[in-house]
Amino acid sequence: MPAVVALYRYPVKGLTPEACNTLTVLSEGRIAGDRVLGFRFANATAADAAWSKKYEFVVLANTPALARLELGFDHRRKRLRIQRDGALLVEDALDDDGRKRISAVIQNHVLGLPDNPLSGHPERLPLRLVGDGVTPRYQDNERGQATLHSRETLAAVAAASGDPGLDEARFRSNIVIEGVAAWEENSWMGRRIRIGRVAFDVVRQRPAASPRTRIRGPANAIYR
Amino acid sequence: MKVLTSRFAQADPTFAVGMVTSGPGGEIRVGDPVVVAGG
Repeated sequence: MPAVVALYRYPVKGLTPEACNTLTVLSEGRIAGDRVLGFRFANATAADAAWSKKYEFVVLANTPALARLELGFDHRRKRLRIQRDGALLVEDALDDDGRKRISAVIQNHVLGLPDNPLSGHPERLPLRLVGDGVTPRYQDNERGQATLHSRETLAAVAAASGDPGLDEARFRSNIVIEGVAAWEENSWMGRRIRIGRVAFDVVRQRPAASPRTRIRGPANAIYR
Repeated sequence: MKVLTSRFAQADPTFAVGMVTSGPGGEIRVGDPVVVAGG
């Protein structure tokens, strides 16, 4: 029988995941603690507490080198810690001053990257760290939606791409399962599945990464 | 991903599926079985 083999959540949109032994699934499939923060452009049209498309944020799709940042988020104390290659970039609280300091450090870091969405776009500055650190609202899809892939599908893609080390972190799913045929999960569109005691409706096949976002990050992982 | 379009014949490359809860949600764990309705 297929079973869950890994669970992930992504506290800050675009940054590294937390591997978890359990996840709490909320209404609409949102995961507690998932995408509760994000670095949004100054000229974003959405209110801070509202969902918007990812292109109003600094994300891996527009800033591939974000994959090299290592995130630590203390959900209880609401403190964010971001490192690069083991060196601390910033650690601060999610109060007003802390958010400004964190945003400034990330903005300066992103501006120094060769491929970034800020250079030449003064209207996008300053970056704002948005989100209350609790409410999961910045998923790629407005409806939230937990995402799932199988290790068998990952293995098929890894074999076809000639990259046996292809890391599932690249695909940024919440739920990873094992025990099905490759691509079998795609055949579940429109069907209901049960994971443990939680029932889900499979409603969407998720668009895959753009080639330009491929980059090797920590532990030889490739993220999007 | 080029490999999805070239090797798996996906016009619009996809990887993974999106899901919404059909009930109140709850806790899931590593090791939980996955059962497909009617499967």
